[in-house]
Amino acid sequence: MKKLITNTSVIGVALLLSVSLKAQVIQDFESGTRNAEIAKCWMFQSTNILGGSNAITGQFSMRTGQMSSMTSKHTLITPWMYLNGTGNLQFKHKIDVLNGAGKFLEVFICDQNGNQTLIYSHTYANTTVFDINIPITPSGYYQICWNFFGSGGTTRGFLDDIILPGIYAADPSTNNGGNCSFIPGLDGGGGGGGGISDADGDGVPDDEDEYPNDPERAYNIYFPSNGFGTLAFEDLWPAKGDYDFNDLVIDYRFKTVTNAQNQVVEIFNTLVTRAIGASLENGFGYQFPNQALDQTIITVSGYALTENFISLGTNGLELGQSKPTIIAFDNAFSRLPHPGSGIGVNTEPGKPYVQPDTLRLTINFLAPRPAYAAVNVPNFNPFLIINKERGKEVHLPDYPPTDLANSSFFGMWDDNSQPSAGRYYKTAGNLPWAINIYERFDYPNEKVDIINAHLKFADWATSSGVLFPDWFKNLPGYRNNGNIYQVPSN
Amino acid sequence: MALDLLILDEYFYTMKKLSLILLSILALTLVSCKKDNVNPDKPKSIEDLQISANFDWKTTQNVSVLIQGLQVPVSVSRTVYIASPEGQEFYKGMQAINANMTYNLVVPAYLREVKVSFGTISKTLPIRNGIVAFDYIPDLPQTDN
Repeated sequence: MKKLITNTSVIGVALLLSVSLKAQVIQDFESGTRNAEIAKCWMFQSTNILGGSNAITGQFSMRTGQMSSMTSKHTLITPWMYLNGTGNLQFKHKIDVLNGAGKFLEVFICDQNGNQTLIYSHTYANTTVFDINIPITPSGYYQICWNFFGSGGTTRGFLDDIILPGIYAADPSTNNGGNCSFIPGLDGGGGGGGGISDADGDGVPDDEDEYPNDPERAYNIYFPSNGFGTLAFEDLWPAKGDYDFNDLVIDYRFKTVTNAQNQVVEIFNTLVTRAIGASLENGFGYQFPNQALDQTIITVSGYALTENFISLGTNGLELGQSKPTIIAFDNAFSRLPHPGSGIGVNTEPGKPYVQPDTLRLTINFLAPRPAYAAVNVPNFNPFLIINKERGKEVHLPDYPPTDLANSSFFGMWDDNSQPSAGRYYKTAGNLPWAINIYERFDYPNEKVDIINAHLKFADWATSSGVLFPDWFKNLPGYRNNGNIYQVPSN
Repeated sequence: MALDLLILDEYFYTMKKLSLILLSILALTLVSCKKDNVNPDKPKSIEDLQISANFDWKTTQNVSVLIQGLQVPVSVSRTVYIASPEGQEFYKGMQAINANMTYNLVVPAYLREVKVSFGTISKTLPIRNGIVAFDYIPDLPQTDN
């Protein structure tokens, strides 16, 4: 089968399309369901697909409603076809019973300007099956329209085994009840149809392209989809903490830019460090989970390392990692300085407030760029590095450590990790050291257990997430606001 | 006799009143006790919770959106949008209408439905066991009337 690629730039066809040049389309209604054919741009008006003894051939035919009106016609309209001036239209038709005053069939060919030409008509005198074969001589875009009608009675018309000459030229993506626009450009003229433009010629229509003048970029995909998510850590691992989940509180958002091939061009990652309820000097990083990603095509910028214990390659990724690993900062206090009083930063009411720190990282991907799914941003693996000790990582529960983690901590003190079972960073009671909230998290005050700040958290956790999956939202009865850190108003 | 009956009535009336007072005191005591011990098992700390070993602590769920291609003799590629019914976009990218595809997405755990759009075609579909099944076939009533 030969394929035609049509992809004009500036104005005209913006759909990346390939069209089969098979010079006919067959409709035998054997799908058995009208909606399946409507999806392919066939229009049924007071007609349906039905099986049974009245099928002309096979199991199914098109059947009309009762042909009892001369004005209310029962119609089938084909998808747009493109014809080069040769070919025959073939079909079979009949009625099931002859009663009432008169029963008729008219067949028209319609062009893209709305002109209709009668190419066949029949007055029924019996229930014979008629096998029709008509030359179609025009060239260009066309549709065929069958109209069954009559006066009085209960007669129904039947149609089957349609063979349309020419190339299927309808655009099912514009479907509205079977009514589709045609794919322009098959006549070499461009234009028409949906009138879609594609200024950069990347195949993504301008109205769907977030970079309509940049052929290298097409889409922004955000994670989380709206606003920021929050990572909240306890940092005394492998010992249990106080479960206020404010030892390090970081908001995050990823904007992934993809091209028309759904490949990742770049990722813009924004990290907002909001609170440090700790005295330890902790770092933060994350890893993309796909070991198959080629690290040599990735470059990272925007990280903030001050403590000289992280080893990066020239591309900004951490050395010694089998998966792409980014260390955003190595000492949270260098991003969010201690205000001079209190245990940490922004966790104790009445203590000085420090404006959250925003860090912007850029991760570029060179060709051959990976698919969006291969980078797998939403399943990124964030971790805290405790007190500048590189091997001491704290991850989300059941997320694996990086290659640089010191495995001797597993099983120590309160940690109940069992690497052989894929169990990580949980206590014997299955408690975590970190949580990832899909939305921006209002964290507890210093030393306040999370269950006394977010009142549905306990039900959520004990039900394994079944109850109150939205426990972090600010809904009636969900919070004890007195136990949640409030940003001072002045 | 009448006096005796009157005294007896007064006796029963007094006893009834006493009983009512005693019952009220008892009830108040019970209520008071209950109030003092609201949910005696209510956890005071996360460490009091009984957590399943399999709980993943995620506020998100993994959803596979299965796109069933439309078998037409033309391959039109356009943008497929996958979003919440309220319009939070989880994914968008080029998709050929006649290609089968699976998109593995991470969406909020509380989400119950996903909206899939392609050109003029749009469907809001339930998430069932982490799966959303989309096809291009409209859900129109099948009738010849």
